[in-house]
Amino acid sequence: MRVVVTCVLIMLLPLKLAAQTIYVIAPPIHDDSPEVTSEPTAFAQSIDMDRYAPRFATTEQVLAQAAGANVRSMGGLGSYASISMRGASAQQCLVLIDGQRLNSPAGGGVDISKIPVSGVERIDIIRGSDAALFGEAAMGGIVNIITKDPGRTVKADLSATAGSYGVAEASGFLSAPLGKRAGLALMLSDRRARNNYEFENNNGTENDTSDDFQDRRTNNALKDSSYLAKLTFHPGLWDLRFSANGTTARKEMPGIITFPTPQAYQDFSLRGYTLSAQGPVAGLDLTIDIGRTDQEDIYHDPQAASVLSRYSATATATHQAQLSLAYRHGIFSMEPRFSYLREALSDEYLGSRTRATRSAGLTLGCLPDPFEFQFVLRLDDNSEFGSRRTYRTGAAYSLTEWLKIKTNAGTGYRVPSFNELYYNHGFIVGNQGLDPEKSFSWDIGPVIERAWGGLSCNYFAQRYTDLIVYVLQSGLYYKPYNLSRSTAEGVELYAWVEPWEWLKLSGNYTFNRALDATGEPNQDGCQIPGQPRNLANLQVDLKTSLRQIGLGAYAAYNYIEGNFITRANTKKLSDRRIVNIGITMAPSRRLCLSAEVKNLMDKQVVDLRGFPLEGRTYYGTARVEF
Amino acid sequence: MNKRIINALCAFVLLSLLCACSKAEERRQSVTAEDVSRGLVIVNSLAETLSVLDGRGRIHTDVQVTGASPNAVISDESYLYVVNSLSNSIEVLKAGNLEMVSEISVGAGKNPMAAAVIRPGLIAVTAFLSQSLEIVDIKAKKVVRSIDLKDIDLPRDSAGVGGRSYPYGVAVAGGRIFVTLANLTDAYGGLTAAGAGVVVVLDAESYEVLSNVELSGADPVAALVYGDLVYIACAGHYDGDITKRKAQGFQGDGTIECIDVQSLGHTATTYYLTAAPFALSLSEEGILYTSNAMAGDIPRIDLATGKISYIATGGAFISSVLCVGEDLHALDFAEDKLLIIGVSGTVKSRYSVGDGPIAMLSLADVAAEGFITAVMTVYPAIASQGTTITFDASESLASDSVSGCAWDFGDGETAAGWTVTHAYQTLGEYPVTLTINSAHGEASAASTVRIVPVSPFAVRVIDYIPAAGQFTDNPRYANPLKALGPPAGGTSPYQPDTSSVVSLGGFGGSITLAFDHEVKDNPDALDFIVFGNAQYDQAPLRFIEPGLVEISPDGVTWYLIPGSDSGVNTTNHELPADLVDALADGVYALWGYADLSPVLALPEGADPLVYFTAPDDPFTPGIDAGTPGGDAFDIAWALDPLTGEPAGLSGFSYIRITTAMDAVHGGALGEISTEIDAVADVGLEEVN
Repeated sequence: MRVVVTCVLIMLLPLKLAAQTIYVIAPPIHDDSPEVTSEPTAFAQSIDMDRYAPRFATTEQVLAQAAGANVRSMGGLGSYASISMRGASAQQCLVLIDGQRLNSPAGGGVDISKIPVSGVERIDIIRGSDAALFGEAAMGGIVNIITKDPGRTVKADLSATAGSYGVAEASGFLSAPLGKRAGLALMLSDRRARNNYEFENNNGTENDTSDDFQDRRTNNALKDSSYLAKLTFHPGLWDLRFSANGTTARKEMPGIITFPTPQAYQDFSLRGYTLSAQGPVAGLDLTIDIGRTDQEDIYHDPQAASVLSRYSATATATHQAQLSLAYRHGIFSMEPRFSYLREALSDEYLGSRTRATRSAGLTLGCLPDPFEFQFVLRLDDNSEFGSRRTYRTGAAYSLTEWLKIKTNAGTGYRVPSFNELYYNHGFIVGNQGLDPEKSFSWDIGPVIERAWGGLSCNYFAQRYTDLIVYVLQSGLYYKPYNLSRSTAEGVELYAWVEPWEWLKLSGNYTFNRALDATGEPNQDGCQIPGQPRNLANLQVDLKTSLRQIGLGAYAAYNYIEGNFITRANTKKLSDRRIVNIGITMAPSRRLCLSAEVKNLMDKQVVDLRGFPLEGRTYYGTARVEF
Repeated sequence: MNKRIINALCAFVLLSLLCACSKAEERRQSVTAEDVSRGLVIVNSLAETLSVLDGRGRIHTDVQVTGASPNAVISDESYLYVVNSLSNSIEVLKAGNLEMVSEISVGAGKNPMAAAVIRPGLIAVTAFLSQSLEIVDIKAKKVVRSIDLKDIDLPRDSAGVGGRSYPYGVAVAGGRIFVTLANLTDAYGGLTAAGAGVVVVLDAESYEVLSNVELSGADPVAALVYGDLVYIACAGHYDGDITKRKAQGFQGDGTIECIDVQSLGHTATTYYLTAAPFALSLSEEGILYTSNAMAGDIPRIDLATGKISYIATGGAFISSVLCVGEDLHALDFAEDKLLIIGVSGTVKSRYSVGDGPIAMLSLADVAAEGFITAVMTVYPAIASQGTTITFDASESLASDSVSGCAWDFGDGETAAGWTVTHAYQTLGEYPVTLTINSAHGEASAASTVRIVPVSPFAVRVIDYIPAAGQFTDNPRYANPLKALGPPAGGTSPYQPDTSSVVSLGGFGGSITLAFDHEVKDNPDALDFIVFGNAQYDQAPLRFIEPGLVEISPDGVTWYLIPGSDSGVNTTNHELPADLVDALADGVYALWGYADLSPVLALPEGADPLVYFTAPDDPFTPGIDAGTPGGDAFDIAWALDPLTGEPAGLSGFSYIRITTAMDAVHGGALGEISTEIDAVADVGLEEVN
């Protein structure tokens, strides 16, 4: 209780001092834009990571605060976390770093906990099916993580965090110009966590509380290191970039509470390389992107039950190349695009597999004031699944400078993963007769942007068909089939208001009516497990200065309605209501300190049954800028 | 800007929010005891619920939640037990109304698949992933034995590949437990049979392995007792070409085989099916039906003629079958249907049930007396004149409200209420009866109270201060009165009684008891016995939960009995940190603590005043003939608390027992919490 009172007093302090002169504000608070530049008509959110700079934050925590995002985590720092949108599964959402795909051809959603926030400039979240622009897997939405560019002046910062349960993070960022036409950005980060937090263990008897006891998560530590190096060169009107990023991690894997894996761990590595060039050629804007992403997952569990994997190693390589030519004339624009995607996998249970997709696309734009129109068409030719057409169309009507009405419609698809096609181990047998999953989406709503606030509110409807589900074949085997269908409709609302310089209120609310549409008894019309129907975030940010010391504080409230854990909607997890608070202080222009309490009320929460999350945790962060 | 447009936008936003903001509710129904009465209970494995088909042919879907991924349901006289394979638990429900009584963990990672009743309150559970058989004491709410089945010899396939044994089905007959073992390997990719399956037979008392019976079919998954035979359902026939079977999509080629309960031999009869049977049921006419995990055709075997035919149901995946009266009931897992099939083999009706129906049970023979059971406990059952005796009916079960609960003490006195007290003034034996009335009828229970001049057993609870522990929240195990009077004892050293013990909880939990006289020191013999619920594993190994014993002549000054660890005191709990006490040089490593040795029940015809006052030798392994076991003590072992020297007490009237080890969470074996059944003075035989 004392902690709560102290924190409230600290938060109220800026209110009293608000009338004083603002000198240095820490942290700087920027608005998350409700638009991304690549798709002006889409309902989206662009999160400026400077907002989180002096605080301790993980990628999954940042994404969990975005409108429409359903982030589910299996534990503390570094534990598997995934994102999904609009009733889609995690693997039906495309995650990119600087445009390079992180979705593994092996299948499964992208583990966003592996992506460090250090070195990230912003995160664009685009909701809805958009395979026409982004390709396969963009069914529910797209998350594009954009790394920092070198600046025009030398900048450097060091940041260190210490927190509960052995959390320690250190990162450094250096940005320096190399002459007048080039620049270099470097980022290094290292994270550690024991994650040995306490939780209420129901002893496997979820209906009987008499034997519940306080337990402690074990075998849950994390060690990871990441780097980013980016070199830019600007000869004349051209923009050339080369970047390399990588992460190596060792994660201990505690397992589900009722089936613990006390000695299991995972070694993970990610290496990505991108080369891009952009410049004018004969009156056209030429863009070339070439990239490669290698991921390796090695799972060890020496004590695993015999029928489960004691060791597995999966290596994937994704090669991407894209060439586009943009032509603009008056209010019209046209951009033909050609791309090539090659995915390779090596796995002891899947063997060596490769497949390639050649694509051709065309984007047409028209901007007759006050309208904006965009139409994108794409043809993919996959070596395993043949050709597939996708489209996306969007329109915006500006009623005033600050008010737009937007609407979009698009299609998406996901090709079956190599696991779904070829896996043959334990209880799972792959099915080579699978077809791609498909989706269609549309949305409509207003977007308001004023200097003192804004709002984005849209209705959406999605339809998913040919969904792949695992079906029990006998008492021992499951095999995937294209048997399922689902729909999702709802409302995504994002609003913020900044009535005074020292105060900002922001929040979002998502209503996600994601329903099974298979027609099967006990499933049809039920909310899809893992898809909460109501999600909301509220945040208050305060900023002021006292005797030339910049002060800031925030309080955030996160609500997620409990997930159903049975497809018949007979069982549901508890609702999640979390309060996080923090203060920041900038005693000088170069130093910024923050202290945070997450899950202030020490609630026992869980996103997935059997994987308890942390209770109350404390973090302190120091950041020095040079 | 047009004001109408602004208004329209505001209306859009507000309307959107109003349309939203509704929570998704859980879909569950309620059910009454009347609906449950003589109905059919269906386990929905994917919905994790139970459905009920009541006696009037109405389905009540999702009426009770289960644990995660329930796989089987069985029953004894009054309770249903649902086996939850993912949450590793056994859910105990009242048969009368499906009200949950408790949920018992069998241990993380076990993956229980099936269960069978050894006797009411004790069940055998197959644990697939831990490759073991778990013996669960329902009243104690814990696993009391875990029998490792990893090392059972299994046949190898033609390529010499050996499989591992995975227990699946289980049945109990003739004092034996029959466990079906799938013989599986992942050497060929997906999990497949490495060869024929095996049935391992264990003794239902000692759990010793009596025999391994090799089958001809693979993946034995279910067992059914019929007379002196146990029928085994093998879901897959091993033909040595797993790859081909996979390519063909597992068309189903199971067998039904038979084992003789007495000889434990495989009978000559094997039925070959074009199906994958996962459950068995036998009609009164001697027709054996099996489920079919690969199709909707139900195999029908006439045991008299050996003729096999198939009933076409139109279903896709028959997960279970059950004969009730003249009808055959079948569950279609894929279509979530209950099918009722008449004697002619035609489907008479189809009911929609919960998601993923996998097992069912008829309540027609369960709790047939009308869901009211009278259970009487008396504390203490042997006492001296004037001792206040407590009579308790709270463990009785009734499916509806009880209108009356009447006691007749046998001495002309009566009383009413769930818990009453009475004192007898005259020596003798008194028949006591309890009568409970409810809308479903009347139930009664009888017992005897014996009044003696001086009771050798504790007669009064002075204090009970349990420490935190997994049992002390449960009123059934936190009743200190259970330490009064004579012990109950187990049927063997391997099967302790847990119905009449009080748990002291974790380290530091204690109970203080008083005798109605002074327990005197006999310089030449042991003086008193403490009875707990320790048990043998493989004698002389013992599962122990040691408790420190202190005695006091006046209830004020206490004298510790240090036991075998001379350095121990009430603040030092450095006893061996293991529940198992090993033999060292022909003597027990531990002695002089409570709850070290098993306790045997009173033999038929024996006098409890004699039998339970005969001390066992605490130093040597085993239970001496003519004694009930338990832990015997000598008053001379007590130490003076000030000097640490022998106290030289002539006797005592009060005894305090304290849990001595700090191991609240002992992993799969549970916590270490001393349990006390009784304490007895051994020197009173001549008085009474």
